[in-house]
Amino acid sequence: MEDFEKDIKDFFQRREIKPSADAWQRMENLLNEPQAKPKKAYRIYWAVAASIVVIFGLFTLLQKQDKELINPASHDSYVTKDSVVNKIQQLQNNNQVVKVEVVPQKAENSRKKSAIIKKIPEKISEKVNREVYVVQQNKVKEDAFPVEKMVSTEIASVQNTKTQIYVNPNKLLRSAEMERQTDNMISNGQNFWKKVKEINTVVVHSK
Amino acid sequence: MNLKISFTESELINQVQNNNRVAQKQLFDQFSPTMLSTCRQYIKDLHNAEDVMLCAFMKVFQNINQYRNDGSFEGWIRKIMIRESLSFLRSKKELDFIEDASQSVLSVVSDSYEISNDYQRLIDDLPKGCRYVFVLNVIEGYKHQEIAEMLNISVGTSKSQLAYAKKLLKQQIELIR
Repeated sequence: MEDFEKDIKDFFQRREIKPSADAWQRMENLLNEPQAKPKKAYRIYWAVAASIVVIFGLFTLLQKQDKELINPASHDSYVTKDSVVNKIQQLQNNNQVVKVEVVPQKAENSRKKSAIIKKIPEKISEKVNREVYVVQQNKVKEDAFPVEKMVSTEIASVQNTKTQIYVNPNKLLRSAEMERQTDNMISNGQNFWKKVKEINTVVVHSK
Repeated sequence: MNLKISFTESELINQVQNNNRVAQKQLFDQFSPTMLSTCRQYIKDLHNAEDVMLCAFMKVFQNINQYRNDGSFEGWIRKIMIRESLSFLRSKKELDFIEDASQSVLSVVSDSYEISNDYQRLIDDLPKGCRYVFVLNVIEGYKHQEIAEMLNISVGTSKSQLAYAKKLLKQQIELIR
């Protein structure tokens, strides 16, 4: 540090400037002013916190739904061939809805074929030669996960566990009835358009 | 009868923390002449410097709970004064630096300085970029890294501005002598 620098430093370190006479009065006025609280900042924090909670809630909900889609086993019921045949026969004979408790058969008996029941009552007799059925009770879309590939693992779980599972016959019958009605509507629609075409051809020929 | 109570520094700090108005006045009376001088180093107009000092004292009173006895109390107050002064200059766009020091020129070249009591005018007449760097480094003792952060410039700019300020001051002092 050169001499002039030292001189300047000493000068400013020793210097004092007396404030104006009303300086303290102005200072007191400032001290007496009510301090404005940063309300806006708090509002922003609250808004951010609320949005984080909402996002977290939605994320958790979606994750739960994803787990249900990926892991449908918890909603599926496993029934054996014999039990389904018995059940359907019982329903067809009595034309009644009965809640039946189904127990999976032993592993040796269930090593033949397997499939998924997509359509029930009238057409079910065509599929009863299969060993194990996975009945989709919830409304998960079939193409949302590879059902066919999962069947083998489902069989294994059936073989390894003897869990008692319930089939809701009401749902089976309801879905079958809906399918039958849909088929009727489609066939009726096809017949309708056939008739329209016939009428058109008749009209053209008559002209 | 007007009783004048005098606190020691630690008592003064405690009392100011408790919003004791007498203690606040004592602190103000004790430090305001030095602090006004500090503010005046950066701000040419004395009235503006005093306004800035009052705002800085307000922050001292509001934030005195944050003071830890890890340094001198006066040094802590001085830091607040300097930061408040730089904020004022920034708001007035007085801290727009010219990165190349050689481009800035001495605003007033005068031979009418009276050395010994007119260093302030010498400092005031320095180009604004190098003036603040000189005050912060030579008078306040800040390092270039700290100055760069405070003024939002590079360390290189701080060094070059300081060298330029010293060169100009030396020329002026030699002219006067």
